[in-house]
Amino acid sequence: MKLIRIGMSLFVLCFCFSLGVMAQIIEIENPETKANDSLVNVAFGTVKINDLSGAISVMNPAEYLDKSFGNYALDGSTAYVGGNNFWNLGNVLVLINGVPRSVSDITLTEIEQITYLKGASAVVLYGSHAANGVIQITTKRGKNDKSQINVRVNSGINLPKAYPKYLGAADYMRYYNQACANDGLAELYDSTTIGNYSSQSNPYLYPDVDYYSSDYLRKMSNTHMATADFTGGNDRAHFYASTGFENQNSLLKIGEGKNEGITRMNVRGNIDLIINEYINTFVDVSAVFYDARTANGNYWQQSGTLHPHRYAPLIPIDLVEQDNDPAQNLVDASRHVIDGKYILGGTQEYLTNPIADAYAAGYSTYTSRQFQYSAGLNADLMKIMKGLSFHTQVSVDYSNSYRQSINNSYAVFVPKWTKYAETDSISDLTKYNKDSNNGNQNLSENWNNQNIDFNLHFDYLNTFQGKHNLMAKVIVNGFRGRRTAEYQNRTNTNLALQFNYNYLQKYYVNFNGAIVNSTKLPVNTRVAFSPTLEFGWVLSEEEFLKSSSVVDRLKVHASAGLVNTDIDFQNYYMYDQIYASTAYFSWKEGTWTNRTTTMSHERNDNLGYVKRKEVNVGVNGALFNNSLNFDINAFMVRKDGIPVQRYTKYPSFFYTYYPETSFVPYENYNANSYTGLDFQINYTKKIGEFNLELGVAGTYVTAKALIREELYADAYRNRAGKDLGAIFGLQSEGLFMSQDEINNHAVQKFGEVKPGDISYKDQNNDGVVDERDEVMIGSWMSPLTAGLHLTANWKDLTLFVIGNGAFGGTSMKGGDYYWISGNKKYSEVVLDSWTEQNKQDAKYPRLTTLGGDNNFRNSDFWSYKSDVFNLARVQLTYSLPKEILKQSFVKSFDIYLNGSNLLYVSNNKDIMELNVGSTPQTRTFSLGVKAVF
Amino acid sequence: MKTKLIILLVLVSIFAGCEEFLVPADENNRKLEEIYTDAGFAEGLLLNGYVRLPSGGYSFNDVATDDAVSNNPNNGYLMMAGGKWSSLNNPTESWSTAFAAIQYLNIILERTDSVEWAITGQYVDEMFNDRTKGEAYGLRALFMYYLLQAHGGWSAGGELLGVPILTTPLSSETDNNLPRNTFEECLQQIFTDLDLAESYLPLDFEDVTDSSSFQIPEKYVGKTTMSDYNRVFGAFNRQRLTSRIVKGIRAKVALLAASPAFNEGTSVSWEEAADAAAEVLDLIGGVSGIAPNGAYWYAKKNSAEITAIASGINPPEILWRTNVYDSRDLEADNYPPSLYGKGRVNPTQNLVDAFPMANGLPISDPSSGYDPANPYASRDPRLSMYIVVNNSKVGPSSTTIFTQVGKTSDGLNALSTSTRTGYYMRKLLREDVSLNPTSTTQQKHYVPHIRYTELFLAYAEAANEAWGPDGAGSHGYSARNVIAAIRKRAGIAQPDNYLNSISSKEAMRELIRNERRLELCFEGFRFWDLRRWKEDITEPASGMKILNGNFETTVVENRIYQSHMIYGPIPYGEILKAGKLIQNSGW
Repeated sequence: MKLIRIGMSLFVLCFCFSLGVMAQIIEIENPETKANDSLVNVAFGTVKINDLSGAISVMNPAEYLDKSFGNYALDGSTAYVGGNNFWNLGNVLVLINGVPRSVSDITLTEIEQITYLKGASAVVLYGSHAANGVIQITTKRGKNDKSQINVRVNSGINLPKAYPKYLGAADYMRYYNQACANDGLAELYDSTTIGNYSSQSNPYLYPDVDYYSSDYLRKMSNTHMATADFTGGNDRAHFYASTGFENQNSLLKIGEGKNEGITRMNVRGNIDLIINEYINTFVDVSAVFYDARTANGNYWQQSGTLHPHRYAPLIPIDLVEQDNDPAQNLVDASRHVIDGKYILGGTQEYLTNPIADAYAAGYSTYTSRQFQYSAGLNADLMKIMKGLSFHTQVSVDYSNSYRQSINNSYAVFVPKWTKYAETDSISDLTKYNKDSNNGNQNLSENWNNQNIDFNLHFDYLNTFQGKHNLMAKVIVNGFRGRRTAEYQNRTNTNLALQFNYNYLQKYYVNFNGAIVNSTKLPVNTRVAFSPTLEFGWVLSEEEFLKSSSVVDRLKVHASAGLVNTDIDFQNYYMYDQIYASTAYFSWKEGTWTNRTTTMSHERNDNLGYVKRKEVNVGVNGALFNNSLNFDINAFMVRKDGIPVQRYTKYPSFFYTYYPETSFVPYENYNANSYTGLDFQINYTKKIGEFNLELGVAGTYVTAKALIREELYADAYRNRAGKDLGAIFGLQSEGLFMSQDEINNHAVQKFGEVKPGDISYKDQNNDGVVDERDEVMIGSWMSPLTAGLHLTANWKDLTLFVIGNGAFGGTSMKGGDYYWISGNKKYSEVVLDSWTEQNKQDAKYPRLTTLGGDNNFRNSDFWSYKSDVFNLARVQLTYSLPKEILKQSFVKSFDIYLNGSNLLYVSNNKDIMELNVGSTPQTRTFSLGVKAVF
Repeated sequence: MKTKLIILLVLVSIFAGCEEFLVPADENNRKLEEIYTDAGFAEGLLLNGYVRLPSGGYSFNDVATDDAVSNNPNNGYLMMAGGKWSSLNNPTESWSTAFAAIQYLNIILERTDSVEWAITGQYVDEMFNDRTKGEAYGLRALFMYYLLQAHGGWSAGGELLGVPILTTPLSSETDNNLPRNTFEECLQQIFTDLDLAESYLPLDFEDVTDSSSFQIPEKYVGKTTMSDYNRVFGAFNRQRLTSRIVKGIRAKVALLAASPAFNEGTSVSWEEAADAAAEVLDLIGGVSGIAPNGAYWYAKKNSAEITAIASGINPPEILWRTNVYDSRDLEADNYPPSLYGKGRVNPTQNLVDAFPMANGLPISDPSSGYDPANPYASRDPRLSMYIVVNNSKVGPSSTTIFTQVGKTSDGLNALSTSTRTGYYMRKLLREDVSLNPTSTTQQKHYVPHIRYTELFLAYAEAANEAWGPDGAGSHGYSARNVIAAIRKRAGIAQPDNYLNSISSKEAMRELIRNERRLELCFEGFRFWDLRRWKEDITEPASGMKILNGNFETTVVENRIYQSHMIYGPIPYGEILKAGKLIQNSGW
């Protein structure tokens, strides 16, 4: 609480101060608020783009937002900088204006610049939690310029790409009978039954429910957005204010589904106050209001499990015999008469279904509120020493979220049908469960988070003899996060030192280092030092290149560093041996109770930081009159000492699940390596009235496990030495064609094997196929992530295209849609299933009413290449000619058509575009206008 | 100046709040050393034995035998019986749980002498120490029994091996590559522990009401008072390990050791096994002490007794049990679908066929009166008590359950929650539980750790082997006496001509094994009994398909076991880690 108070008092102080000095008129140019096209935001400051050190990429949304509108803050990152997964090191830290925050806290409109800090030397100043890389987002600020207002309205439709395809009732029954036959069981559905379902003579008696039909779902959902921002300023104060609104509905069109939707609203205000020639202060405030409303019952998940023929979800009232009083009474008593025409159907075993849920089970609303607040001060201390300045910022963020739900239960009815000559009618109704609105409003998912972040640094910036440029910083950086139900604070604290020197902006030596402190480590390893060193050389400044007609600028750089980090430590006191009271035991009928005393883990006082060790080299520059820009970095990163408990060293009973206990210490043991390069190449060309810009960017990473806590008899099972995303599985040899083949094959230890089951290779030749025969069959990590962007501009028309791709990865078909066994709902994959008759062409194992454990496990039978190219964005923009607007108060006016996620190009597009058990992927088409006043 | 003031202010305030940023908050974590001054914390080590007892709930590993199947295709035992059982995949494994329990018992045994168990009373500290040792030794023996049952077996070299004997705690500093002791060495360790336990524990935890010395063990006479004695060994401790329970454990161990699968490698004779069982039974007066409701101790019709259970007092059928608790979980799992259950455990035709006729004759006997077209008529009353057959009336409203094909959702294979064999399990369920969502109820349940019927059957089995159907050793009751009492209790028509007709040890053995199968069905015995007896473990599980009034027996699941699967495997991972561990033959 102390820090909140500090933050608050600082805010008040700054505010009073600024009021006080508002009256004075001081002519001062604030370096911070200058048009800073050539400045790049890095850790604790900005540098000129030519002085930028290696392994840092930059995106300037203001430059592309008008030709490629998106709301997501990192929109387009693959095409511009090769993706936001950096070098696949793990979760990266997101900073908004230097404070750990979330990407969802901000929209692209509000952003001035996004800096991707990848290399060790780029992130080290931020301390331990930045070790995997930093996405540093800097918001727009006011300028010492005329006021300007930007307004944008965008309206779009989201078209589902694909729905799961399940068999209809009659087909399901036919194929289930096939499964019965395969298991040596009698057929479950006789031909009359199948005929009835197939003819659909009475769809209520013989239902065939398609949960993806237009009876329940809209063809598309809609998204509407509007943003407005205002900038302005004078000599004393600058301001930037922004507000945005977004609304989206859902595909579900029945019952509460109609009310489903998401609303997001945000407000931001950044104010700079110039107090006097030495001091300026700033206050940034942002608020985000997010509300979502959802119908109860998980429609998308349940639609993938409920068979089409079990019951009709809606029963027509007009088919209930008029003179049947008991049945009519039940109808009259029902609270849920749908559209005046239906009552809810079900069976005794299926008391709920997603359709009835949407009508009768209630709804929930999710509310999330974010308040983010920063205040800071920059002071020029030139009076103390030339070039010396002081900077500080304190931020306090609050977020609060909760879900309120109304949960109702409802009765379902099972009709009894009587056949008459022309039509069937309902002669009786049986009611199961009851209609009950308990009136309770349930509160759940209640989270209150509070983050405090502060930093202060003394900067020294000076040039000696006009040649020696020196920049030095001493930085104190602290973060403390509080989460609901977490006892410990999340902390990141470090002291950082920066010493950058260049000679005539030609030769660079940069030293960046941090002394980090972790609250998760024992006293003797708690503090560590992370040094990095970098050298740069601008070759184009040398005589031999200065006059080159090809090379405009060329810089090479190399860097090495060590970053200590604790982000892999999930808990506190992992180094300690802790005995605790855990499971309850009571005796004498519960009169007496005590708890087991168990040990959490063995002690290890030497448990230390994970060490990111890195070398990277890079080259960047511009060629051909700056028409071709490039930036290429190659890197070798090694993460050492990832903490694990080495269970393979100790007897298995050193760990038990209940009560959870372990006698094994955490040790710094596992290690990974990441090797690869990232590149960005940009080419601009003007041909007559055409302006063309083409960019490609990508990241290629080989991520390997170097050391693993593991114990396998066969080396091919070792994870160490293999890809970090390695998928292990059996190697299939196709389907068994006959019992003879099975008899002559190694024994497969996954249950009874019959012809039509998958045959696997016995890797270790021990005559048995089991987990020991699993080999690496691919990696889910795509080593290459790349994208391209293309801008074609002709007069007032601009066409913009983004394509993204990921290559070299493997995925696995799995889940109930592809692995069909037992009583699961049958999807269309069963159409290819093995039978004695089609055994030569079968692409899918035999169907079974049992678990199918032999077939449904990781193997290359199910794996597929996840190479994909996604046409992520096409936008056509028309800007009203400036001449037309000349007389108007409107400065510019754009109208555009935008399409997102339009096309997958992939051999396995059908699999990759299909979502099972969740809302479908969509293509989005939108129309928008943007005006500047 | 104002600038400097602000800087100063910021600096001072920030550094003042630094502690939260630099050191973790104190979580009040405890150390092992605290057991010496906190007796409750020390007792917590011992309780690891109790909470890890596998008998605290039903495993239903019967679905991996010829007695039942599961309708849950992902059931581990089902997959195991379907050919998945291996040293890598062993749902019957006891290794980790039992050794973890033994580890904690060893920790407390090593330190209990230094624990300050009590600070008041006369000799209370010492007595608590004794009691702790007694419980710890007894529980350690019990866990060794589970280990032997699940992991004991013959090595390829022809030696009957047990598991490593651990009597001191292991740690990350000790040598953990330990060889297996022989089965016999393990048995001797168990018997030593059991004897020690008996030496520390009273027969029952009951309050001494008469301070005259012989109610208090001699070793405490003169050292303590009646109230202090009761404080340690009195009624408050009921349902924890007593000397009586220790005797029951010894009977289980001896029966295992004397059984055909193990007796070639042990020194335990059938006679010793019979004596061990009789030692407990003699305390309740032998056959005359058999509980009349022992065949339906769990049921609605025994609800008066179950409701009345309080303060840890055992009903006559029970030697050791869990607390009574309100629940409907068993019913939710096993009621047929029309009673809102999941119909999980489906008894087989094999088991149904094992129930004799009400006249006592097996259905295979030509004079039994068995009618294949009306197979459930005039059967042993236990059949309808334990198993839901076609047209059985079940549940709180006595709903008729139709397992025939096509009539209701309870019919064969109708839904994923319907029966796969044509039968549902009825035993162990409280049929006064309603799962109807409009009026859900729960009822009192408890789970026996050891009940007397098990011990009677153990005695009958061992006595028959040792002395023949009518030999009584020194106990005054024979195998035939025990079986007669059990069958009479079950409702077999008297006189029990079939039992009376049995004269040979072999025929009696068959009958005893069958009675054991019926009496203890679904309680997790069949899986181990088949192995103990070295019987056929590959008998396919059959079901009954009733279609249009025709009864047809069909195979539902094969039992894919090989001959070496009479004995369980040592976990594969442990063999890899510890080179000195030898795997059982065939695994």
